[in-house]
Amino acid sequence: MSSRRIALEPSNRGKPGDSRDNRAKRSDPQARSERVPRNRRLFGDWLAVRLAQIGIVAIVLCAWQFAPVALLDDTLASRPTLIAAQIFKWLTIGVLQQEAWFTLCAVAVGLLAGGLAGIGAGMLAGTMPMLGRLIEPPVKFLFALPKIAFVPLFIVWFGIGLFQETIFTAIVVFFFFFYSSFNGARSVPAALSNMLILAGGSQWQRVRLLYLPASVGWLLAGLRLAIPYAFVSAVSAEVISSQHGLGNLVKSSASVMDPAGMFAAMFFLLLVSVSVSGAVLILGGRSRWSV
Amino acid sequence: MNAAISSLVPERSVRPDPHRQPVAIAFDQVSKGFRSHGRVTQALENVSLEVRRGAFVSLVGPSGSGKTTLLNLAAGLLRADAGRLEYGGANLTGPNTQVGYLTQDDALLPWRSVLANVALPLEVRGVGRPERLAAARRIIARVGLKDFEKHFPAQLSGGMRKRVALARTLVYHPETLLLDEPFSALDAQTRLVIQKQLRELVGELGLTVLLVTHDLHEAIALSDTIVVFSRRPARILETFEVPQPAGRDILRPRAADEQIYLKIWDLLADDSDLSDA
Repeated sequence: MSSRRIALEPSNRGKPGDSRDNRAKRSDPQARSERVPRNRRLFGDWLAVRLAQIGIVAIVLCAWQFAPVALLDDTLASRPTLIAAQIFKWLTIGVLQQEAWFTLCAVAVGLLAGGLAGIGAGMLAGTMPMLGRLIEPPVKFLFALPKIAFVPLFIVWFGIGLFQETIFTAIVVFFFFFYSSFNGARSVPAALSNMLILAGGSQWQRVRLLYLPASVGWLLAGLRLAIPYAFVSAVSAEVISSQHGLGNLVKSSASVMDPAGMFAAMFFLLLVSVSVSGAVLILGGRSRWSV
Repeated sequence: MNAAISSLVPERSVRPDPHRQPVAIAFDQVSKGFRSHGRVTQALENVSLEVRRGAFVSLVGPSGSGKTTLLNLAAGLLRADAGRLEYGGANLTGPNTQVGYLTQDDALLPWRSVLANVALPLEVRGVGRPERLAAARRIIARVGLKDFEKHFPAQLSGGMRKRVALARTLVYHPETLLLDEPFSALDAQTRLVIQKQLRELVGELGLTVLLVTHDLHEAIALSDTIVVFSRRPARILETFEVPQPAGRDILRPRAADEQIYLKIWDLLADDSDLSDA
């Protein structure tokens, strides 16, 4: 929000035809009334976009709800009202909350473990050129490999359940954090690093005081990508084989031909995933750390 | 080490005669080349140079003539291919933590305030928080930025950032300053102010200085000795002594300076075939 205001300010200043008094008022924080017309127009734009979005969603939902059976078979596609009823029912008996908790646990622990491992490996590879040249190619190959192919193997190794799911999630998000911190560390100018070397800084001090803070912007960008992927991988693992989680709820509903249940689980998943991403985006949006 | 940092530096108004001081940095037949794309570019070839303690030595010469390489060697950031490099009478084998290095790049951390940037080298050396902040405040006040301690680098002008970088370099009391065209990105006015400030600080702290510059006027105004380098691979063409009487205004040009300026110019022009053009 604040960045939007800053971006608009230069055009606001010193417009032709402004009297000196007006300009003086504008720079005076107490004379905010000068800005109201512009803010009102901004608010108008915002409102128009939001109304259009709500309208589109309403049209899609209405079409879904009232489409003739010949076009949309509700035993396959369900209806919004049936889905809403299913969500309400599951919420009252706590099914959605319980399954979402499982998925969230896998996502959170996976992000934490994969994040720490990725940042650690990326920092090592980014700050030690020889090591970087050694481990970057294999990481690149593994990154290109569809990780979902590992799930059957992980099931053999770790069994079905939260552990397998968490490890899979951690491995998927590892790469985002690896590349964020690797690139972040490598983008640090040599002059900064030399300065710390001559000041007597150890490798660890250079990482802590220079490379890590310099990578915060990169890591936040990586985190923004990693969160949706963490949900995707946790749910994928649940769909393939699990007895818990929203993914399992989607799969078990589909397997008993219950599209309302499937969509209910999916909508709730969407809600959880978007709220988590949104919360992180808001937290990360304030950062200004970069070299 | 820590005791040296926290102790007050003796104020010295009259610089001792550099020729009587022990040798601080000694290059003995030093060569250094860089390999890239299978070809070796020789930056320095058999360079011998002695810098005495407390001397202000400028290195001038065509760009790409290995002057920066010489500073990087003195800082211990590079290893010589051949020859000996001694610092303070001992062979230099790793990063030289007795030197402060200031380049054209300010190398300030944008997420740290001026105070935190200046205190950083002391933080690295394990000096306690109150001590290092006090030392940083002292040196910030000395370079004239007392009111800007809480500012961030992005909020400062180029000249102010340069002074912050200078303060950070001086905060851990290095014996030697290595300066690689530190003022070339500044406007003429700011440059003069900082040059004067630098010369005063160097005198006060009794620092040894190696300054790489393309600005012959800067070299003549600031230094006791000017070393003129040839084109790559760099050899030393000639060394000039510049008399610097105590208490003179370094910003004020002298008639004698013009003589040295012309000599150096002719020397460089001969070397780079400028005279034929």
